[in-house]
Amino acid sequence: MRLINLILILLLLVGCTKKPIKLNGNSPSVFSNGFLVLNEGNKDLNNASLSWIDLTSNQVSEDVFLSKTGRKLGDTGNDLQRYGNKLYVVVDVSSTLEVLDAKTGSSIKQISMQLNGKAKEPRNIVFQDGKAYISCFDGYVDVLDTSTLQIQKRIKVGDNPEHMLVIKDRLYVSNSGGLNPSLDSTLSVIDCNSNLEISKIVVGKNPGKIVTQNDSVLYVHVRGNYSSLPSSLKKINLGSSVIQSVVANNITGIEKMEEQLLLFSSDAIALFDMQTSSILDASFISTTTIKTIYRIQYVEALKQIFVYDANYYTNSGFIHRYTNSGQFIQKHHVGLNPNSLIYYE
Amino acid sequence: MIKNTLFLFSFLVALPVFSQEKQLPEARIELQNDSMLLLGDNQRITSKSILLSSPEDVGGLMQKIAGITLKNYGGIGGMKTIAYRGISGTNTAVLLDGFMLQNNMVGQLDLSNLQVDNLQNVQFASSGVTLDELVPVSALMQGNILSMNTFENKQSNDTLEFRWTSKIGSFGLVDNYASVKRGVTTSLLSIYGKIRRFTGDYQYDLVNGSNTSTQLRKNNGLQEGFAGLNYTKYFKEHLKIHTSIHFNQSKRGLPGAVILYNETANQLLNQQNTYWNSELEWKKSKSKIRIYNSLNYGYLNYIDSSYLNNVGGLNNWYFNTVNQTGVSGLRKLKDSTLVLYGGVEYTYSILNAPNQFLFSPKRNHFQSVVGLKYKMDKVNVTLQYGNHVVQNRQQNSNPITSVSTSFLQLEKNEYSTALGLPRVWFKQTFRMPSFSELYYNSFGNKTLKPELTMQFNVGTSYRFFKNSLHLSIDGYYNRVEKKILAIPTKNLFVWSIQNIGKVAVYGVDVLLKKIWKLHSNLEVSASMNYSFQKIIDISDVKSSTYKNQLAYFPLHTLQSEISLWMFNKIGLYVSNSNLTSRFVLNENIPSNELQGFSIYDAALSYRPSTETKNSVRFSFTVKNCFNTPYQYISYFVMPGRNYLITMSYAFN
Repeated sequence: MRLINLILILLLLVGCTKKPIKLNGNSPSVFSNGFLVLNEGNKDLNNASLSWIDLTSNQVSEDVFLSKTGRKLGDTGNDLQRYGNKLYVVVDVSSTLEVLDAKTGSSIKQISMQLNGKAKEPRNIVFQDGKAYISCFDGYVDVLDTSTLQIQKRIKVGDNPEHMLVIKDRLYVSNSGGLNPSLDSTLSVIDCNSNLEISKIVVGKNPGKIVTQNDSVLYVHVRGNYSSLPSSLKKINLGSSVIQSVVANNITGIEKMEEQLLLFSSDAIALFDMQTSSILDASFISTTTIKTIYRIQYVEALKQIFVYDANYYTNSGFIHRYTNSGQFIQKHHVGLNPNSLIYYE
Repeated sequence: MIKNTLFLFSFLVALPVFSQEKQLPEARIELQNDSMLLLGDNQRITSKSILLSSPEDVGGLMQKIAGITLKNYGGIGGMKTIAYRGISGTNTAVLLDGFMLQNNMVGQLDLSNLQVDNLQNVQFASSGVTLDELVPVSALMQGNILSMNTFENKQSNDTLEFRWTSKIGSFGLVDNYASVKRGVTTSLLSIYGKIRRFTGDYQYDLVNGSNTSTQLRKNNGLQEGFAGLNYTKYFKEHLKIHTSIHFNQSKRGLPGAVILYNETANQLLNQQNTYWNSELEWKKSKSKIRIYNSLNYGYLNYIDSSYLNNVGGLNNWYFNTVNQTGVSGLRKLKDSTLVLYGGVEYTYSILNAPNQFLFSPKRNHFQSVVGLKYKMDKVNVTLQYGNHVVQNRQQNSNPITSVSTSFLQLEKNEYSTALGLPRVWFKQTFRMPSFSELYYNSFGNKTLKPELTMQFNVGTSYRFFKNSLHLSIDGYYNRVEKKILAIPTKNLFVWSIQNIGKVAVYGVDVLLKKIWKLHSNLEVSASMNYSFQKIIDISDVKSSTYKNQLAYFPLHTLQSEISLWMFNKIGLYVSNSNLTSRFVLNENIPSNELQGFSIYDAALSYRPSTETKNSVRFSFTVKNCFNTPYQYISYFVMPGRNYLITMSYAFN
């Protein structure tokens, strides 16, 4: 009987062991010969991160931001860009802009993107003449002085602006209206000298990524409503303002590769020629080994194509690397929902 | 903290252990009644246990059940759903006084909307029901049954009974419940009401990398009210007519997940639920028939003023109506060694949600069941077969689905020294896709099939030491086929819901209970529930999550509690809940790991008088005694140490 009592006591006292969570790999003190990757993470899990792919050792370091700054990146990393000697990480749901030293990755400043207690939800960032333009889902583009790191102005645009492109002194902004019952269908045109919206171009429901051909023609990915209204590729002649639909197939995204475009859907990556506005190769890259094509990025310095594989969006993802002729080079295992990278020589 | 824990438990457990050495020969330890019987596949929680542990709602109470995985989104007012042995809560029938509570929009109930103040008995059964009471046909064919009986509906011959409970607690908690019941031999009338208010602005520690900061939970307030009326008329001894209506309304803030660097939280949820139940029951010594109807009406309004659209935010509402009518009955044959039972039922459901659904989906659901229970010399055999015909009425078509369910159970009906009380059963059930899964915006999939579940259970119960020590062990294997999953198709915005998942569950539940009756005025009881659950994804061999533990299911769960009663006046209670680490996503990698936790609660209860006519009780409860930071769901932080003072009065 005493034995039974003893067993009971032991069982009642059993607690849980807490294991410290370990990260793989070591972050380099200075970024060199590799790729810095932004992993978007999943909403509400605060698990956006930066991975470092070291091309010398072929090792991948997880959560570089945490190891460099001692804190987490936040919730839903949406964009990563380099301008001058700084890195800019746009974190959507956390509503922050993280400014890092481009060489070391150490934190320079965290800029809160909130106004009057409301999150502005920054989405993308582009640069022009020392200024950063940050599209915010609350219907504005914020202008940031990259020297002082102060927000100088808010420019009212359309609903839920996202992708942007600078051509000379004009900023083109896609107003998606993605959170509205009725989608937006315009591009806002902003004069970068006065920082005022000077016009709007109607391109079609839910405009997304914008690229240019010779600074005289825009190609816009118009995404439709993801069901009855299919996505398409629109061509806009900036001189004549003529808009034509050049590809009516269901396209998930586009990426510029020199004078060509890479068009992708859930199961195909095609090569599109901007000169002739025609598809050169409907199966330019084989997608059989890719589970979920999320985005594509072309790195001109390497002349290589990077296909981001989100692996069903809830599992750690992969980056598939190809030559500009579509030949497979290498696959890298990274974090959750990789969406952009910066190449370091 | 470990030292404190050791001391506390050493004190509590050592008292009965050491004093028992002398007192054991004289102690009269006996099994009081069958409610003491421990069955891993048919567990009970008594009103005494509810009283001592003071759970905030039925969701909080469910963590006492071995095999339950609770998803708790944040204490009082936080949404709570359950899974049992790896099977989602949509497979559990929730019964209140013998009537089903249903929500066809999402398929399962938020258990934070169910109060505990008036519960007399709570039972969670995965094996067959006892047939003591005829439950709805649909409940008989569900994977599991959560059955709750209230004070208001319990038959009473006392002329007048009254219950009153007031609670005040940390974070602005004020909770008042009152109930009056008048019972005579021919009728029973009861009425109750409850109002609860909670500001919910508790502090929590937020760990961010190497930094820890103390934050305040915002937008976590709750205001809610419950009211109900029961009336039962008895005609002689054979016929009973009963009707009841329950209503609850709540308005709560939804604090959401803690988002790093962004404390914005503006979402609100308004809810109303009405349950109107009626039944007629006729019984003789060998027969029983029940005709029943239940009408469930739910209204839900979700408001998000921070949603960045051009109309100032979201304001969505949903009306959910379910009406269920059925007849069930049983007949005892051959000196009651053979019991035949069965029934038919029709359920009509409709959902109106103009902002979210293109049309109002409707459903006709016909169910029938037949079963027999054969009591042999040493073994009971139960066989059951059910059939379902479901018609979903969509815009342009009315597809009909037919599914069958089955149940087979063998169990010994008496203890033997070697095998205890062994039992084995197999159950095949299903769940229909919810209206949201079928039709929600562009995500729904009208072609979804029912999700199928198979459960195999082998278990036994033992009693030792003159019935003072009870042990139950159950091993089980469950398999879910055609699991309904949301998966992305074309891109992150285009998801589709499909029948593609497969899940295998291997588990063991161990229940242990020990009672020390040390003296006529001193009783100590200790209990422990342990669950091991290996719940793995076997959908796709090529997937990163193949054979990985499903998100939010811990491998090990341990619940233990000790209670001490002195002179029927003083009660002392300590409980401990342990969950080992879980993964927040199905991929079992370190970055997805959510740490386990160990939480202690304690309570002291005092009755100034043992008089039963007028009974007053005071209790003081400390929850999360060691102020441990913990989360059931990632970034849904739970409150730290908090206090509750309860005063209750009963007049019989």
